[in-house]
Amino acid sequence: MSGEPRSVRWRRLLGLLPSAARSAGEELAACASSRRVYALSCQSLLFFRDKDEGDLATNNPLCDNPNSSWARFFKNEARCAPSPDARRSTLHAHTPPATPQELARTVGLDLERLHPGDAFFSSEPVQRALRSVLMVYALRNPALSYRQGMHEVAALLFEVLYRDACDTRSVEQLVRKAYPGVPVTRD
Amino acid sequence: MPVSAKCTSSDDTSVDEAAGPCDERYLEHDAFSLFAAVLAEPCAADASGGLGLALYYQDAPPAAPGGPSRPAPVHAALCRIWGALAAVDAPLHAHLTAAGVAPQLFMLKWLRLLFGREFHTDDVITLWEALLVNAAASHAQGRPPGEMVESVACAMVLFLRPQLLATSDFGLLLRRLQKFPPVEDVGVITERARALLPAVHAMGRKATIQTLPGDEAPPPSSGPVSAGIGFLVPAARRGAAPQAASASQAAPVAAATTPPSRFPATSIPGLAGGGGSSGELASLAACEPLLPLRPAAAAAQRVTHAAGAAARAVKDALEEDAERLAGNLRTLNSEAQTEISHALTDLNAALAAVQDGIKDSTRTAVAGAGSPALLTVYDTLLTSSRHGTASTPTPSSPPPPHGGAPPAPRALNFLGARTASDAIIEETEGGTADHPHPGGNAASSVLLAAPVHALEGLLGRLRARWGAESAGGAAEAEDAALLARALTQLRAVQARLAAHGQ
Repeated sequence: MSGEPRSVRWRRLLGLLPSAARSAGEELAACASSRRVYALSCQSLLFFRDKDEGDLATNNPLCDNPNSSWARFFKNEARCAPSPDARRSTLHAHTPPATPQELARTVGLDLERLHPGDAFFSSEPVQRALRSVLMVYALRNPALSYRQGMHEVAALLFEVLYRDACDTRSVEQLVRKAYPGVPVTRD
Repeated sequence: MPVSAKCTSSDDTSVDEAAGPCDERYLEHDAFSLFAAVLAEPCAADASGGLGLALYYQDAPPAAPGGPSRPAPVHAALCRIWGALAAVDAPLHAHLTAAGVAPQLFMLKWLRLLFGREFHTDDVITLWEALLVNAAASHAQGRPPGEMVESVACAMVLFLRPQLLATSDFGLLLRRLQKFPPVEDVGVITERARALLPAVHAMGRKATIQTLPGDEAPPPSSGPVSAGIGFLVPAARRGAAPQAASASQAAPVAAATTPPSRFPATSIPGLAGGGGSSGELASLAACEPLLPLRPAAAAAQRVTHAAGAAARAVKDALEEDAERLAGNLRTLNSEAQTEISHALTDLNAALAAVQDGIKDSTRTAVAGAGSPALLTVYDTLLTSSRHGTASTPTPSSPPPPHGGAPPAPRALNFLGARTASDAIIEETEGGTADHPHPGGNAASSVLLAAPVHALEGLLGRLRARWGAESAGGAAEAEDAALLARALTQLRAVQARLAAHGQ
């Protein structure tokens, strides 16, 4: 148990992976299924992120294609706009309803200020990954949404995973060097 | 390993079924699962675990129509921690409560970031492992997963016990708690936290939610779109003031009258006012985790310590005062309105003088540190904070027109000075100084003399006015007490600075 990477241990403790190493297949299936949940959430929730990408001829704010990211963007805007009733009921609530765009701005601002000067956390891919993680969580949990401080928790979890991935990779490289031709798999 | 090349685009919904648990392509995906699980409450129905961190971020549940407002869940957690502290260390709990220190002023950050800013990254990771192991164990026994988190918070306060007992100064106590000192072995904290688990658990079983010291309102929730550092800055002390005023008033007086020269210059900055046997002092010196600062840096740090404490105390007291005065204006006749709008002008002028005095004295000390780079940094900060208070009335500015609408109480911007102070402390802790400069403290003590005098005069005039108008109502007495407390604090700082400057 103690020989396992930390992030694996943590996922066992949190019930994300089978508590004891049972069959390798079961473990891989658990990994794949939780990753699929996230990938699907990204696709359905974060399309506004890349609405400016792609071919302008088929993907623009005025196009008729219902599957374009712009069309989905507008649909989501309409869905997120609070009704007059909702407006009234949230008058005294602490949390004003935030559109995904507002949320993205807030999350982005907080992430920009996360560990300033740290090359790892200020790099574009890490910023983008953390932004997606926090956005998906916020949009899947609208009651809680995103709160300042969550970004620091997510960042440390990301770092722990990153360290383990680096270790795993270097072990695999050593094995490859020592036993060329032997396939390195995790199971 | 560059993340850039390896992170799978999250738009791709196909997942490699053969990828292992530490696959570099799925860092983002796995981070999401972990993050969601850390926030989640464990569910008894399925085997899913969780750390329940979301609880500390949740808003207060909406009050039932006509019913009392219910506190936020994090408030209940703070009550459990504070209650456990009272159960295991009543003297420390009483000491902090008497000084007006309430857990919501520093503990929200601990809980919401899971102590992420209090220790080094590797220590935080070690700590989180302990939290997760314990949450899993709690889950198996049907207990809430956050008990270990709350025990750790309690253990952290206990860890600082000697330093906390050494002073009654609200500002110093809060500073110590808000900036947790480096810990050599975080295992000490987790060990202690494990021992505290039963106490925290016992608090959790009590159904009643106690009231925290100085806590009429539930602690501020962090809004979802707050762009600033709102939730990390402690709530303004105004909530704490009315209740804590009587208790905390005695402490600064003691600090001001005790001879403050018992500590050599290399000892704990800012603790000079606290009494204690020599044995206590020796153990204190041993506990002080700050590296011995070079003299000039230490001098600058003492000035900024004192300036921060003074600024906070004066700001809190006077801000409340100004608001209440403005409220009282409506009920008084026009002659009194004139008188009080004069007084408000004086108040603002005195305040501006204090602020400038603090900034200038800090600058003197920084200049004495002999580092041009440090001075540049400080000047930049000073300019930006001055920029924010450009409309500050100076002592020579004319009073506002009388008889008309009362002047709106100025938002007193001490935050700029505080931020600058903090930055200077960070800088000086790096140690750039070579020349001792004890004169900075003496200079700032002199600078503080004028505002102290102005405040004294103001207090006298206001007392006379209130005495004539309404023979001392409760609100007026409270106003006077607040102002007196600010004055006492300011005098204490002045005395401390004068003593250190010699």
